[in-house]
Amino acid sequence: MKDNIVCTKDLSFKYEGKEEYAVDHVSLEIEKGSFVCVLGRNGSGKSTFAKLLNALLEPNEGEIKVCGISPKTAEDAFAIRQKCGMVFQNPDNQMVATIVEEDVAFGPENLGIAPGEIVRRVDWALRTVGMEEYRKSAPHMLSGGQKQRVAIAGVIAMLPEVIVFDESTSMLDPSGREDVFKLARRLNEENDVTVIWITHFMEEAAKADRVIVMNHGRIEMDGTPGEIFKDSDRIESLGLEAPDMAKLANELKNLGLDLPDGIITVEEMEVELCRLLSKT
Amino acid sequence: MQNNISIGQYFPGDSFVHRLDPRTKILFSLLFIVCIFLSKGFLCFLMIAMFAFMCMKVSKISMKFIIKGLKPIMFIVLFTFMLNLFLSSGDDVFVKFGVISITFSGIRNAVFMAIRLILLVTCTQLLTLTTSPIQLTDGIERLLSPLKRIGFPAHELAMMMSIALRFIPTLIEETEKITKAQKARGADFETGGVIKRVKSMIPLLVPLFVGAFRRADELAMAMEARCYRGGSGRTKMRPLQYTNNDYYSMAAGIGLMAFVIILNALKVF
Amino acid sequence: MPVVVKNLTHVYALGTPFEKKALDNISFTIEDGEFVGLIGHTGSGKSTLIQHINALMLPTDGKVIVNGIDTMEPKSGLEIRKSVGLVFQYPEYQLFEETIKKDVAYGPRNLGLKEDEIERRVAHALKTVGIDEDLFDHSPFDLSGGQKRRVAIAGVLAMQPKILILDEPSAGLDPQGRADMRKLIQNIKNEGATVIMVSHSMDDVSKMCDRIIVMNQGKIALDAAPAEVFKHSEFLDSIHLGVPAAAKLRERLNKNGFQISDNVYTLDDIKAAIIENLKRR
Repeated sequence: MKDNIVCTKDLSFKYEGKEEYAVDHVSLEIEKGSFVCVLGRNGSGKSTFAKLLNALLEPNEGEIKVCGISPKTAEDAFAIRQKCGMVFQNPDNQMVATIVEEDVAFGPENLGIAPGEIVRRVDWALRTVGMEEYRKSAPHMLSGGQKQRVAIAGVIAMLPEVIVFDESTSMLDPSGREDVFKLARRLNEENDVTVIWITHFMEEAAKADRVIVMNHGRIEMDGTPGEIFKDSDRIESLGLEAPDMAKLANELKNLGLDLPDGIITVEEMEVELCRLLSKT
Repeated sequence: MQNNISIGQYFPGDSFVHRLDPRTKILFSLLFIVCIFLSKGFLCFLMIAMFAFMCMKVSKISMKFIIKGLKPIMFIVLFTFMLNLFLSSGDDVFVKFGVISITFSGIRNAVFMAIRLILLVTCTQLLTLTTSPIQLTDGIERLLSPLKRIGFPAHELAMMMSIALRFIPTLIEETEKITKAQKARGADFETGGVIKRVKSMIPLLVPLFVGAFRRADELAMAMEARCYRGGSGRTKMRPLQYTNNDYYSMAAGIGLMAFVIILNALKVF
Repeated sequence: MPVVVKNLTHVYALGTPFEKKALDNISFTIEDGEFVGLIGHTGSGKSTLIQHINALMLPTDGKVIVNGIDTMEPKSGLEIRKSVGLVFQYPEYQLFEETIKKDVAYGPRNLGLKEDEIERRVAHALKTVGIDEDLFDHSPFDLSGGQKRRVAIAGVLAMQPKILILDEPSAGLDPQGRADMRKLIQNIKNEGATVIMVSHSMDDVSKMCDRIIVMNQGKIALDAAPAEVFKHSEFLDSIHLGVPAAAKLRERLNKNGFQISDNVYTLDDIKAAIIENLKRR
């Protein structure tokens, strides 16, 4: 038996006054320590799903268990939020304090942790995200990518087991986006944090362990990036776009080239094409 | 874009005054203000001014900052001065122009009021120059916390103040952005009469408000996700703690007040 | 109606300790009907530059001449904004009116046009961005994010600018939204406008523009056709911009015995080149 950190069964949620389910009978398991990417067009239910994970929303039907806790009471919700952190989309609207280090301390302070321990955690968190030299800065003097890194520091200072990133890179420039993604990947690999990464960027999804595609509140596809992107037509019909190299691989295959499934990066394409060139 | 909006007028430093507990500084400032109002003569003012000057020297804040801070209120000082100068009644006439007469007591009152105002502003400035906004809100929260028992929302008040401080620069930036966007659509914020100008602000104000509400919504959600549930059960990374220096300072403040009261009682002005 | 930028320099907070040179002696000309991609990372000066073309900012030194009007001329602002439309980043946050129609009419009304002309332009602009007529009297705040952005763009199109500047028009959109935005901008271009698109997405720029200006540290680093620009992939990497995946692949393959022309940077072209290379053997 693998250790599952998130478990849902027929999980459903409907916004008030809406006919359609935003999340529609979703059943899934997420393995501890994995890096899972959730894709889907706007309004496909990704963000609602994220908020259900963090107990910010209460399911109408079905069950959800995060880190072994189902959010039945306010206390449960509080316990889940300790273990399942969340980084949002807009870097400006998730910082509370006027000084970086105070903002990072906000979560641990809410948990009622002793002052000395908070200082230790804040130091560690800022060092981990590479923002220690900005600890006394005001948030508005930072770039978008730096703000998101501070937001991540604020989450990891609570020592969560899972972090949900809800389109956390969508408002950043390419270098900020890369920094934040790499940081999430590193937290996953080095600190054993389970990452649920919601995004519109296919290049990011290509680097996940597992990709889940949502559409109309349901899970439409679920597999490794290679499995998901080999069917670029299906991906497009779901309002998404396969990464360029996956598209190219499909087209070359259609033209009769002998390429394996699952090519998504330039490096993989290079290896395969060089193999073909040396064979001929 | 890279505008440097400083919040409040905090002047960072590591002096004796900077290191004092913010509660001490707030209480001290209150004492100062009480002293200023209790003072009935110039001798008291001289004492207070000397004291303030000492604080300034100890906190290594240059006179320039204080004077800069006084500029915006110079008009009020001048106005009060004139008012007292011309409207004080008395028999000890100094000069007389027609119906308007300036009396000696008028001159005294005018100078007295002007000094009082300047001292008041100087002492509040000393507080804000040496205390960061976050320390100030912390201090206010702790000072007001006994009132929590009667239902006073001390924590919420402090949280609101600190969020407001956090978002002022963001909102200023946003105002700039929207102003430019509407200008690009041909908006004209500069010409026309009062009514036209007020009307021309609507395309600016509506997006600002809508944006502020959106931010408030998102911030509330983010705070909840970070386990915020009000002030109860919260700890602080840097809890406020009185040190000996705080006690000495308070003693000095109380000494000053006693001095003022005694001078008043002895009618030594 | 060309845009002429001559030795343009802009310094923020001149004479204070925060002084910062955002644009440093920049010169270029954009001719009628060009589709220019302006690319550079945050802080490279691209936002400052586009605001100069719209006379929202004035040069510290040098000149910006739009359609023969120098932006420094007093009162030239409105005249220039009549012909240069500027769509800022996240333009949906500037909507303010009760109805979509009224919001789009704001620009034309500021130009002092007659009611029937305003009406006509509003309808045309909303049609161009693909907003249904039965939505015209709805509140813009009820729309989805993508629709709001299109209404905001219509608000600028209704002023019928000859030159349209778009700052990161597809920021924050989902893939479908990005594709729709590309189509929309292509349509606007086909109607004959000169388009300047600011972006940090090399992919978007490479798919659409016929000229790319790369900015770095307030200076123009490269100014050429896409194929030419993407030949400098090492330089582009060094300033954190990268090249489209196809150009990256081309370079790697050429190091491994493939012979693909330096001009290749699109998926279609590289596909053809790969097939040809493999057949040749």
